Amino acid sequence: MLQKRFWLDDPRIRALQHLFFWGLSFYIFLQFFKTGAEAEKIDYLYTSLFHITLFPVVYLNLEWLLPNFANKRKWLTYAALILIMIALFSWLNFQFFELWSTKILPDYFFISYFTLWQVIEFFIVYVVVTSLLKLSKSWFAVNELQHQLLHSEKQKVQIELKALKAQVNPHFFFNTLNSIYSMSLDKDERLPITVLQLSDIMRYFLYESKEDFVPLEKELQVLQDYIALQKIRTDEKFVMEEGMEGEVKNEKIAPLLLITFLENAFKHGVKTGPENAFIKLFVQVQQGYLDFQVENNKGIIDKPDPGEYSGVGLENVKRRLELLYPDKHELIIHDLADRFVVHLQLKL
Amino acid sequence: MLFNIKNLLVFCSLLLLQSCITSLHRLVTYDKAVLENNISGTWQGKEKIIEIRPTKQSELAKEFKQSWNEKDKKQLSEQDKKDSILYYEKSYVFSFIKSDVTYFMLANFIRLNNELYADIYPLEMVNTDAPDKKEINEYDGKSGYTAAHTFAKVIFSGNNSLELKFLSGKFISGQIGKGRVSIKNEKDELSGVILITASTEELQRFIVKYGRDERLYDKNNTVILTRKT
Repeated sequence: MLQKRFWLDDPRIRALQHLFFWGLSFYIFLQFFKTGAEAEKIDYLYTSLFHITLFPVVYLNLEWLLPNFANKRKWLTYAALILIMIALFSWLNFQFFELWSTKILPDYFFISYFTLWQVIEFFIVYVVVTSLLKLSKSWFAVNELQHQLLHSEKQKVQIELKALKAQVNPHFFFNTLNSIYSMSLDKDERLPITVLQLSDIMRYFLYESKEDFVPLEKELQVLQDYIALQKIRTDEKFVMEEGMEGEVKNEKIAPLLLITFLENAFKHGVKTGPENAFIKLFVQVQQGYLDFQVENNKGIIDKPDPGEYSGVGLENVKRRLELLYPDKHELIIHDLADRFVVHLQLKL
Repeated sequence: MLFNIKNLLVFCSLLLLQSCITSLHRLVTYDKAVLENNISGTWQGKEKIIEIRPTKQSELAKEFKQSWNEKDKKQLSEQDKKDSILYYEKSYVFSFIKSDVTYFMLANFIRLNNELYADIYPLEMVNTDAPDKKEINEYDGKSGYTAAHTFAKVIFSGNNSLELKFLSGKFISGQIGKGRVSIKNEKDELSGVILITASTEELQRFIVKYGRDERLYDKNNTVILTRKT
């Protein structure tokens, strides 16, 4: 639930703000109206009487005209009503000090210090200032709301990213463990080194990938470990072409982004592929941009087993790219007759 | 205040009136000043004879007259033009003798709320026996002196009788003391004298609003003049 700052809504704080405003206004007018060196009773009375006609204009505007007309974009009605109100109460103010005070307060001698037009000007200034104060208060409220919405949105994204990352791990490990299982059935002597490599990858997945961003160097190292793992697993029955260019030090990337593409390449190319299966991996880092391309042959039965989470990995990485690199990435996937090409460009 | 209020010289005190209210600012502005021909003449007061003449006809205004006549009207600045109206074209000189000294007052008239008001302030005093003795001839420039304005309602009773009802200093000062008059003022704490410091515009508004209020005048501050010539 969104909560506003206390000073925006607390009625006591609000009352204090109004008291402060009118207190300040009273003080300023008192200094102007005072007849001698010190303010006398008549000056307090005069200042009070002057304010009596100001209150209705200000509060009718704030509580009735602004919410009912200005806020509903009924600008013409608002303008007409506010002008009528200013004219009416300015006239009342002027008339009181010019004429009516002799009847209402016969023992006091007042004159209006202002012409009618000057009184109107004062009223306009008060209406404008108080409206602006209200608008600034609304601005604070909107700002607060935006801040909280942003915070909430950020939290939502974080939760989603965590969930997406959590999906990567079991997916990858499920496939790898399947491979290890096959190797153990075959009593493959490379099993220990395979388990060791898997252990390295797991360390990265389980601990280091908890950070929002990791060194690109580390992410690429995991790709290398993964390829090595797959080579052992498949007896190198595929052609692996690799190319890496550019300076990767000091660059960072969201963890586990690239591995998904490589994993898919192995899964749909090598695993189900013919004898001449291949994977081409090309990575280039230049001026803060990563150019990543992975290409693999299409397998004979290029569709995952029913039990596998088909497409989950790719959709997952697409969503993570949207959240982590909005407007900073381009992912092009070419699904050709015999090949599958993924091309990712990323502003690091 | 830059000057001592006690030193203000006002017309009504010279006329032995009980108390008048004095103002720093004038009541009459050049654009509202009026000429009142009926007032010109020699008038008999209770104890004094008072001469009232348009400034243009006054001997005292010779210097003014020459000064303004010599200048081409086009050469006059805007302020000079306003001054010429106020001090020369639409003003009157009041003069009377007291203790061998002739006092000259300048008066402007204004109609407010359909009534005639006079704004009177001291101009010069001349030793009647030795008019060349300049040391007493001018108030202006004397340290501690400034011309204060006194206001009176002017009521004619036919052509031969004139009433000058000065605003009562006693009443207005009393009301200011009680905090019942909202008009700018300064009070000399030692003497208790109050000087009205309201602007001309405020003074006019005050007179428009309260000029008909009889509480502002009293008999002790009223001068009745009868025409002699």
